Amino acid sequence: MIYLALPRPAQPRRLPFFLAMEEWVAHTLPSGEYFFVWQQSVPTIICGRNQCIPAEVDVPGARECGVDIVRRRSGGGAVVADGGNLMLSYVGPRNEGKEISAIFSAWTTTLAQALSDLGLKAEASGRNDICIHGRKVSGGAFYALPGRAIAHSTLLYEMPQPELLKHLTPARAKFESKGVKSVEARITSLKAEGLAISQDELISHLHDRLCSDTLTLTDEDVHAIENIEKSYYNPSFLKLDEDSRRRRTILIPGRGILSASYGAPGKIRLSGDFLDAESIAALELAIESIPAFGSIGHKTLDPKLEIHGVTAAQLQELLSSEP
Amino acid sequence: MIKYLPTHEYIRVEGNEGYIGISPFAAKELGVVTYVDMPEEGDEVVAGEEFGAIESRKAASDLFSPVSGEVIEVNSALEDDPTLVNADPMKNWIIKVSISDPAELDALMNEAAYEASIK
Repeated sequence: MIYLALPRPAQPRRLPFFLAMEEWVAHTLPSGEYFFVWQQSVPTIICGRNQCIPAEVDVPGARECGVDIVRRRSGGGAVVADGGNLMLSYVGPRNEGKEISAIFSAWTTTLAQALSDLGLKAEASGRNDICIHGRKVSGGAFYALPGRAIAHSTLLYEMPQPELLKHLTPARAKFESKGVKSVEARITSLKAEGLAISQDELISHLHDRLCSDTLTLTDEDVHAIENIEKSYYNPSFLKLDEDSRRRRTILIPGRGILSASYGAPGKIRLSGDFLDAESIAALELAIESIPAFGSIGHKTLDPKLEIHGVTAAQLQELLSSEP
Repeated sequence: MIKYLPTHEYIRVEGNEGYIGISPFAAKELGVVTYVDMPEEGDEVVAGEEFGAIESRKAASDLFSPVSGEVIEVNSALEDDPTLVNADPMKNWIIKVSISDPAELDALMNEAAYEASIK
């Protein structure tokens, strides 16, 4: 694997620069495996490609506090990035005929092993997470291009600032006012798990452990990346003013956030990164099999229903909750 | 006639119009589709260029157009149930286009060549 360095690494940048850098690497450099670490300038909330940002983020509040809001081209949920959250990129070959999830699993496992070398009990978990003692320390999102696979992973060196989390999912305040444990209870940081080295030393370790060579980009390369970066600020891509009324969200204590998006009458799409595809399909089927589904808030579920830890009562709460 | 791009999009040609979707191989590789980002009717698409995106529980991928032309219909059923792509990707096309340059079809793979490419 080759480590990519910028000609002037001391210059922090807005996060879309690094998203653009991934694309530039995938489109420009010879086939191979590449790795780099982001150096961000301001706290940022990064949303998934198809998320409804106003439903996920308190946009005016975040902007007032100088928090940047960006959208990536990969899927998945919103994450926060501040100085304590290392953002890592992997760009590798995508071999036709090989399961795409296998490429991303291999990357997650490689990263977990690199952390294990530091004495941490880090294990790849689920589809794209790394956990220590059952609590998440890293998550990943993936973007497949022709012949190339891009993975970006978060790595919590230390816990994110609570002020930053407040801007994520406006409904969070509602959950916390009910005494429900928030996302902080489900995640941990490398520092909290006893890692005693600095962030710079951690980056050096990842560089040494994962990469056999370093490639320093030229000013011309950086200029080309900056041109791609502009597309990330296009309002038609960011879609900060999207209608959020068709989406509802609740927190499943100890598990994660469950969201429902409403399409045509009788159709609902659920999402929650703690659920696998089969569980989501089973939950959607349970909802859609309710007679006269479509008049939200006036439906009943089998009270014994429990799918992957989500109960009938929680599902009912989701369907009845305020958008 | 059905033709393919190496990036797994197909076009089913009917006269001067074509239905564009993703192949069963691509649908299987992506896994459960959660969202299909489609252009709007009246938008122009260009051969070999991105016209939308598809997100699954595994990854997000861009969608590339096999031909140039105008979008005359989008499959709105996918907005409500994107998993239709998994259920039958050949039946559940993504966009319907009017083909502006039929000669572009010559550059695409036929079914046999595409099948060979994914073996």
